[in-house]
Amino acid sequence: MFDSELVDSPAYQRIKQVYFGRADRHFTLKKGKTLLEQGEFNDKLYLILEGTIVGYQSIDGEPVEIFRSGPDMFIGLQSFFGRSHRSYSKVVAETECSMAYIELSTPAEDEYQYGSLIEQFNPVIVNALITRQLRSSHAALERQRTQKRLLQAEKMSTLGQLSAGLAHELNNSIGVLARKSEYISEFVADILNEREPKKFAFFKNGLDEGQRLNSLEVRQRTREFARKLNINKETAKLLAKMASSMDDASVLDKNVIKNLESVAQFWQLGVDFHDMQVAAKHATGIVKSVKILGGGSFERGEGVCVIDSIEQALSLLKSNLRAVQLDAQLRELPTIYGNLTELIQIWVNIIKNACDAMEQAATPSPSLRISTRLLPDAVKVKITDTGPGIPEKLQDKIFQPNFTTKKNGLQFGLGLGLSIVMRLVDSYNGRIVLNSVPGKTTFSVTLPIRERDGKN
Amino acid sequence: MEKINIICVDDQREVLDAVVRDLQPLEQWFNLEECESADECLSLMEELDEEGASIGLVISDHVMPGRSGVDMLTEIAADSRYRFTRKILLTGLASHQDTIDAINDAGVDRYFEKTWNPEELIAACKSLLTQFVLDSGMDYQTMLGALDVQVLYQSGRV
Repeated sequence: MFDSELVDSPAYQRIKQVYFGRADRHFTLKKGKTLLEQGEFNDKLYLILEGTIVGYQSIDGEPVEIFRSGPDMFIGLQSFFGRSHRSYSKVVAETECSMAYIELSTPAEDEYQYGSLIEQFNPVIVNALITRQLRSSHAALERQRTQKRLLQAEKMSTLGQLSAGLAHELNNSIGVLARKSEYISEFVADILNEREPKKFAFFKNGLDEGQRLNSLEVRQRTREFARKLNINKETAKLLAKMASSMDDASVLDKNVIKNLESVAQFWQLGVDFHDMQVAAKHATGIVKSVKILGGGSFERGEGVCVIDSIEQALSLLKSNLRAVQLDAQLRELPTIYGNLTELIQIWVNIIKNACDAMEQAATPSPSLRISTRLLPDAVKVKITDTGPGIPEKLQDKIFQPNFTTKKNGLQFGLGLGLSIVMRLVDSYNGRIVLNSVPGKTTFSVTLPIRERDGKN
Repeated sequence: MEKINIICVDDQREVLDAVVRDLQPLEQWFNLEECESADECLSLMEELDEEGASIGLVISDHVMPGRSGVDMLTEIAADSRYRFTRKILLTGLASHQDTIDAINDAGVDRYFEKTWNPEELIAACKSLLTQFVLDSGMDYQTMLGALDVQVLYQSGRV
């Protein structure tokens, strides 16, 4: 738009009134009408009173927009004052426009006090020049940014394809391992069941339950058994471990203790199969999440489960979260309109940021709390970490792309951090609120349940 | 004489179980203890020390909830009661800086990456435990089968 300072200046107001105030030089230009063709003879200077005018230049046969002008802006400055009298662009009314004009023959008013026509219009001309120059440099900057974004997007999609391929390969291998270990355990179970029912009972318990006591409990029970039964420590420990998945009576049976070595082996074998299946399931879960993020579609629809998306994000970040005490209180929520991959991206970026901040600051006993709440038309997810907090003067900046306080540039290529979160939440008409003091930083994300709700 | 203790630390029970199982051949001469956190390990060491038992080797994971493995090993390294105790870091996830700290501050004797090779792990344990036995001036004659002959030989005892 026209420089507002100039619009408000007495010089411009005078010009507008003196030269463009006459009703007989006013006219209306209908939407879509062409005011000037490129190269057409022009001896008029137009002022837009209302509406929008767009100038196109034909470059390689294609019309390219080169300016866009609104109220208080001039059309034809170049051909009028530049003495070329030819329009360098095709000028079209984008909306219905109310216009005023002067002609080459229009005499200067009050020449004695204000100088010649060109002298009187000087500020207007200079202003128009500057406005156009600024406009073209802004356009150049915007182009540069777009190019950067494109490059980034290309990188992301390459990474996405790579990880999707990787995920597929891993999934196959894990699948084979999981299935084959299941076959073997079924085979062993059948044989044992047929020939050694006693051993089968131990095997089955190990397989179904795994070792349920933690190391501290095992140590306590080991001592207890060793003292009560007057047996050596190794034997007591084996009993203690088995007692974690079986009732004491069947473990502490006289016959069992007498033949401990032989039955314990089968219990342990069961536990081994149990662990293999746990590990395979864990790996499958991670692979699934990577696949969703890497090659996922970004189409939005109804029925997206927010809790699911949080859980997937957590499983993706398992290695980041290993050193973190996690307290996830995920209450049941209605499904929302959206896209699972995008939601996962939101949580992954916030949670990863929290983990990184706590790791970098070496936060003692780092912990992360996630809670969900149902609002009348929206769901709210709060993610709180115990990290060093975000200084107030940085709180606005952290959502900008390419802003980072991270010292190590190595990032897991899941996104561009919080700027992505901001963009995504915004596109959902949601809201993100940051509250941060040292030791407690909370990101609250509110997402509307239905498509057109939110941000009210 | 009480058996020398080996303590394994890993927050993932399945992994901890696998480490201990791989070390089973040493059970004849050593007592294997399992801990699921750094704090548990430190308090167990406190207990064992009070009972007058010796701790020959600590094998620890690095990334665990609560205190990290390198942190814990650093604390052990600074405690004169455990000056002869040998340390192995067994981890799948340690940054460059963690590794530097492990060597400089925790004085880690060996570094194993997950997944490990069981034979190599046992061989490393034997060699480190032999050094422990020699350093603490214990009678090594009764446990010759468990010790690393090469280390004994180099020390001039064989």
